[in-house]
Amino acid sequence: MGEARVLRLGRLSRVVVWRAWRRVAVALLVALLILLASLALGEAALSAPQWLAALRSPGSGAGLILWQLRLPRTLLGALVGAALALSGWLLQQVMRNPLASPDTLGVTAGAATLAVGYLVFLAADVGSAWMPLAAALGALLAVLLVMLAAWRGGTTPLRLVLMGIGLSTLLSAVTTFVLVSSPLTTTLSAYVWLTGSVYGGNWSDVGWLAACFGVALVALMPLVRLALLAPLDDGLAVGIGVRVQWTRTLLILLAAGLAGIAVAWGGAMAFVGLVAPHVARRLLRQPGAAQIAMAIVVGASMTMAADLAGRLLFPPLDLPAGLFVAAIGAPFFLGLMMKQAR
Amino acid sequence: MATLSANRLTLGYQRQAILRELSLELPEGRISVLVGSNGCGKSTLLKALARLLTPWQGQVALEGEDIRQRPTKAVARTLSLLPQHPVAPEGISVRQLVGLGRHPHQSWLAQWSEGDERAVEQALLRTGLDDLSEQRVETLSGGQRQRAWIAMAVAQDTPLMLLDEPTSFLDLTHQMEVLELLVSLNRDAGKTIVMVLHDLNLACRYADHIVAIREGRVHAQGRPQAVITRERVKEIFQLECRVIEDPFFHTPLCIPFGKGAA
Repeated sequence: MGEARVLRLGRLSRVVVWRAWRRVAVALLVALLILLASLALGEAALSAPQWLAALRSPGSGAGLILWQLRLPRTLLGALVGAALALSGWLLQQVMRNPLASPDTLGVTAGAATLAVGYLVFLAADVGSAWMPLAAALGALLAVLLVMLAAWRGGTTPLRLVLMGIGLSTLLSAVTTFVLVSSPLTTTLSAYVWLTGSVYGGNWSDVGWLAACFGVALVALMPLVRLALLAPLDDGLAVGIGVRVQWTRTLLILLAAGLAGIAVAWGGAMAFVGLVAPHVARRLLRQPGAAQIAMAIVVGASMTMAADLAGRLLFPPLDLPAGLFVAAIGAPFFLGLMMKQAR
Repeated sequence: MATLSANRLTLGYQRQAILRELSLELPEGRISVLVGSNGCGKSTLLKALARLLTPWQGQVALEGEDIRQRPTKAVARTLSLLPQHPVAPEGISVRQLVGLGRHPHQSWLAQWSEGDERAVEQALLRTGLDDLSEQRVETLSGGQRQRAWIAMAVAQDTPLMLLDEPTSFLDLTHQMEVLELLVSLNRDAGKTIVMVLHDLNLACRYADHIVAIREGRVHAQGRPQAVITRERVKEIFQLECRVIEDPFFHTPLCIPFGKGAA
């Protein structure tokens, strides 16, 4: 705690841990560096002066690459990572389980089923513009189903996780069935989506996702205190006046919505939602608003870095970011766990 | 001051009724102890009194009003609860744990007022934890940990405190320590205390009012001298015993006999 300060202004009072927020600021700087690197590096190699010139003239050829290709794509990646990380952090709190992630509650599987279904059955007729909507809808439907199935005068984290795993498995089977029975070209694009990619992200995508993320953040504000109390046993929580079922439902819906929109635009790279909160907790022990901010920044950095790696490592291939989220994230995650176990 | 009562309370788990039309009024400003054999429903009753369980029929009344009709946060300013096996969030310090008790007094605007700070400080002093306040809860001994949980309830600053077996898993010294602490909260701060205890003799010594539960009903209640008699103990616990007067504290002292030894 060390540098915890209490701010009081009339009725308003807050505990602010400066050291924690300083660390968040540092992480934000790192994220900005990754963003800049992502703007600077890519298939079209630009020298530093060329790059600066391009930055100033969005109309030029190089400017177009920067402003219409690299920047929106990078920002889209950042937003996808941020939303998944926040979703994962919330779920790990609410489920009282460090292994919880948007995958656990069937969110990703639900999004995948409807998105793939859309690609296979509808995209040819109505175009692929509505796919994010299908994915978000799938995510929300799946989580509602899980909550309904787990409801017995209320839900418990354990029942939710079990129902989530069951539904995920079922939905994956459906997705695979649809994939296998679809034409090869559709299968390929569906497969890339399933891995998770922000390839071809444009400003309209960024605008939509940013708006949704903003709404979710505003909705989260009054819930932060309750999210921090979510790990308490139900008995203790009720004892200090928390409306446990109501809070749990709200937080899960919020987390599902966040993961839904992230997956809708970024594909099924929900692994970020598992790893980023862990990294954030390593960097900031103390649960609090700063830890949430940290998770968001870490998530954004992870996807931006993964997208960058996908573009750079195996030219001329432009590999989906989801691949590198897993390829870099998984060993890192294992290392983290091994260190913690010791 | 706050009154708490149960009115023809029926409830249970799944389809099995545990409490059957149980009515009970808990005396204000006193220490009441619920006793009874395992599975008689005393813990269930305590949970129902703390609104953790929804009655099938009947109601729990807090200050004469159905407890479920009042906002749970308002209830939490009147009544605090220490469950049987509370689990502290990982890595939390004693001071932070005690601070959790302030939740019902906080709002989005006021998250850490001077009142919160004072209440936590006092709770730590009162429970003798001021020197341990920065320690992590998991590093505490069993007795210290139980005091930390009681401190959290004290910080909640409620006239009514409910505790489910606050002395289980503690050695005799620490059982006494916890009970003395609760008595001092009752005597000095006027708290109404309702708790489940297993040790009859300690219950007799510290309770003003004993409520004996048998098969989901109130079997007997009153002063320890009135409730803990040889016949009653046999009815409540199906146990042969002799009850003598404690030579030092003059409360009933129950000496259990085996089934054959009587």
